[in-house]
Amino acid sequence: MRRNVRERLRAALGFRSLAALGVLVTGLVGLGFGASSCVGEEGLKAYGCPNPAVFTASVSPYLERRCGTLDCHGQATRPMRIYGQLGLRHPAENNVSGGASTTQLELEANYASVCNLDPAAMQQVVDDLGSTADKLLLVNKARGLERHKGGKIVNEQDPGDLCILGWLGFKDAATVAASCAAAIEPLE
Amino acid sequence: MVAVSYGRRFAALSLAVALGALGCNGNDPIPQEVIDGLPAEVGSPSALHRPGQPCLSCHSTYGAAAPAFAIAGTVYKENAMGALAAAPNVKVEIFDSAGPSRFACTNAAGNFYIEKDKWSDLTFPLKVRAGQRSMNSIIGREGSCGACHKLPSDDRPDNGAGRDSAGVVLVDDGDTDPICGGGAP
Repeated sequence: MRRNVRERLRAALGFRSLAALGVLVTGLVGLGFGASSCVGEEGLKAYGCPNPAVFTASVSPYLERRCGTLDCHGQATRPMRIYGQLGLRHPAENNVSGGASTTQLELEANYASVCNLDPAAMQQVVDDLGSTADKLLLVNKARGLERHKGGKIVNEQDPGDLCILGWLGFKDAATVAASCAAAIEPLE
Repeated sequence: MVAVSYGRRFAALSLAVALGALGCNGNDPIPQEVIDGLPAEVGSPSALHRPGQPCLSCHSTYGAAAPAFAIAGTVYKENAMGALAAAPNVKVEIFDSAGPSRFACTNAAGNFYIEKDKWSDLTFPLKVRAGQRSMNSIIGREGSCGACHKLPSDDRPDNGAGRDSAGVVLVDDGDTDPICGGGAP
C-alpha cells in the first residue's frame, strides 16, 4: 500500500519534485521542532527577578502609563513589550485598548518582559539585593543614560526612578507603592 | 594639515549626499510599510484628504509631503444612526511637557494639524483634549493620532477599537467651540 502511494506520487510528480517535496517536509518538521524548543514566557521565569507581587501591584501600573502607550512599548514589535488597559492588549484575550482593566495574564507578561530584558544583570540585582540596579538597561534607558528612542523618562531620584529602584532594591511594598503612585499621578 | 584634492572632496560630498538620500527614499522599512499600506488617494491632496489616516507617515521628514506636521489627526462623532462622521469645528488642545498648550481646530473632514515649523520644540510626552474629552493616556512620541486611533476594519468593527487600537478619536455630537467657528459647547 505504502509502495503504491510512493509509486503513484513518483509517477505524478517526477523524482525531482518528490525529492524537493521531501526536503520541504523535512524542513517544516525541523522548523516545528525548533519552534517548540524556543524559550517562551514560561521558560523565562527561571531567571531571577525581584518581588512579583510588588511589581504587579505598583510598578506595572506605572510602566503601563508611562512606557506602555500604543506608540511606545505597547507595540508588538518593540522590546520590553508592555500590555495594559490603555495600551496593547494580550493576544490570548479579547480585550480592546481603553476597555477592561489590565488582566492578571497581562501583568504576568509585563513581569516576564521586564525581568528578561537584561536577564544576567537582573540575576545580579537579585543576588546583591538591588545594589547593582544602576547597571540595568531598564534603569539606564529610563534615565536617558543609554540610547533610548523615547528619550529620558525619569530623573534620578524622582518618583518614577524611585518606583523602579524601590522594587529592584527589595524595598517594602508600601514604600514602592507610594513612589509609583506619585509617579502615576501627573500622568492621569 | 593634509591637503585634499577637490576631486576627493567632491567624491566624499557626493557619497554623503547619496547616503543621505538613501536614508529617506523608501529605505526605512517601518515607515515605508505604513505608507505602502495606505489606500489610494481620492481626489487631490488637500487639508481635507485622507481623514483618519496617520498623517505624519507622509507629512514628515521621511515622507517628505509638505507641510511637515508636529501633530495631526482626525476627530469623529457618531451621527444619529450611530455611524462615524467627521466632527468639524472642534478645538483640539495639546499640552506638551515643556511649555504652554496650543490648539488647532478641526476642518470639515474632522482633520486638524499643527505644522512642525510652528512647534519645532514640541516636547513629548503630550496630553490632549479634543472638545470636552481628554485622552486617558499620554502620547509617548507619535505625532499622528491615526497611528494608535485606527480606523474601523474587519477585525476592529464599530469605532476601530481593538487589541492595538484605541479606536478613532470621538467627541460628542455638538461638541464644537466658538473659537473654531462652532457654537458654544
